[in-house]
Amino acid sequence: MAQPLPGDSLATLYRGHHGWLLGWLRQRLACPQQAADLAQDTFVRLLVQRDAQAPREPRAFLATVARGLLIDHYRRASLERAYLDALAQLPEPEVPSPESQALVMETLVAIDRLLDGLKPVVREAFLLSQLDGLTYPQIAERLGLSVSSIQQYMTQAFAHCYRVAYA
Amino acid sequence: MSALDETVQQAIAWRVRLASGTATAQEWRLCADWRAADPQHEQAWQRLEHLGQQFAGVSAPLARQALAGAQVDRQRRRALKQLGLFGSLVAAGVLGQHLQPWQPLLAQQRTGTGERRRLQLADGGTLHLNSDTALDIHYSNERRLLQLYQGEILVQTAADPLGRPFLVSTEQGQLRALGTRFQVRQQADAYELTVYQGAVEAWPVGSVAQRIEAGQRVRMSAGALHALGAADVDRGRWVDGLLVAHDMPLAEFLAELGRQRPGVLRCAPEVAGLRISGVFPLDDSDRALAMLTRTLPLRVVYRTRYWVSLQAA
Repeated sequence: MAQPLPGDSLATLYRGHHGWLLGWLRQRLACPQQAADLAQDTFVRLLVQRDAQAPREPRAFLATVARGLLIDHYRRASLERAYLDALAQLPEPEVPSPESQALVMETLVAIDRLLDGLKPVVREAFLLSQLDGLTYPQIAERLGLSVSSIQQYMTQAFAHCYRVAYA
Repeated sequence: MSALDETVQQAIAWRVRLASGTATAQEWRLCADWRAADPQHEQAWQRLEHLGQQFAGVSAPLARQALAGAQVDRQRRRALKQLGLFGSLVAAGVLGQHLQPWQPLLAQQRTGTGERRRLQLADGGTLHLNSDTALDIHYSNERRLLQLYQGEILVQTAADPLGRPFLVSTEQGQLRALGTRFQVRQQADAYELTVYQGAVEAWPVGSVAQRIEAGQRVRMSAGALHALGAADVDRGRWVDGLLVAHDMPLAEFLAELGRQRPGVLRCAPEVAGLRISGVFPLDDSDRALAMLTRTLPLRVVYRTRYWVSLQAA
């Protein structure tokens, strides 16, 4: 039976498997510093999860948590690259301050997470509505589709976002 | 995927209706009544509002570009991964296609392999279809739309007395013609656009619109446009039934010619890089192949009528 994960069992987990996890992450990341950070984050994630259970297969369990963090890491990295590319094309007076850049990055990560898994055309319709503020008839014309298709796509997109955020 | 409870579905239906930009004052009032009717209604509504607010805080063009860029980055990674697994399926453009496979078969306008056709459009414009092409033509009061499913077209637009926009819609994005002659050609997962006259506004799905001027050639895929260099008018000679080659590698030449005939047309690797120059008839590809053997150290090997290969003489 799985047991609640008290602090000492987390310490056991850390002592017994931190080195192994670090090796696992190093095989998957180019930068050893990032591997160390993610290994640390993996244990922090377990520490803050109040309902965490003591795993029967500790390494498989650690790898699952670490894999999730690794995917987040890659998603964020690709988004950061694309955002910086977009910023680089702006004329200098329009470049936002570092503080607001950081805020925008957080928002983009959140949006990106919400939209992940939507069909490209649904995603596009949703962005045209929510980001660009276009009306459904305008979106329909842009995408060469009917207004009723746009309504369907918006319904799919809102339902998808709702599930990601609250389900 | 788990079903959302009915209250959430109702909230979404309201949200979708009110986000249309065409909602009436009465619909807003009815929605307010619905929200007030039950605290659970209001909670579901507030959650959706909160989701929408995330989009309000960022500059639209910047966010759009960053999100699209990240998307393309990932698609590339995913495609590379799948290539290892499914190889030829990806190469054939089967994966990642959102078109239903039967759509091209049901298209209004089709050409078979080796068939090319010229159509007069209702507004006086001209549309050429290359071999194995499928599209629908939708002319309405608001717009002139070509829905291209596969193949290659060359369009000469005419000035429209009604001032309707001229659009070409593909899986990877939309084109808006700005008084022009242009060519659109399907690739595995992208479309190649060549502008000969005027300009075309190209809007890839998930990215920003860009104006492509006469003399330019670009590749449009979902999320991106890539410049391919100068437009070469000779690439549009198929409308006259000709394949015009300037120093073209044999493999590329055979790919062009192969689109016009059924079956397999290939060459041995050692001759793939031979350079071809000249003017060749598309309607008689066997003659085109025979012409090659007169000037180059090649021989044509017919295994069957449909399996032809070129080898070193």
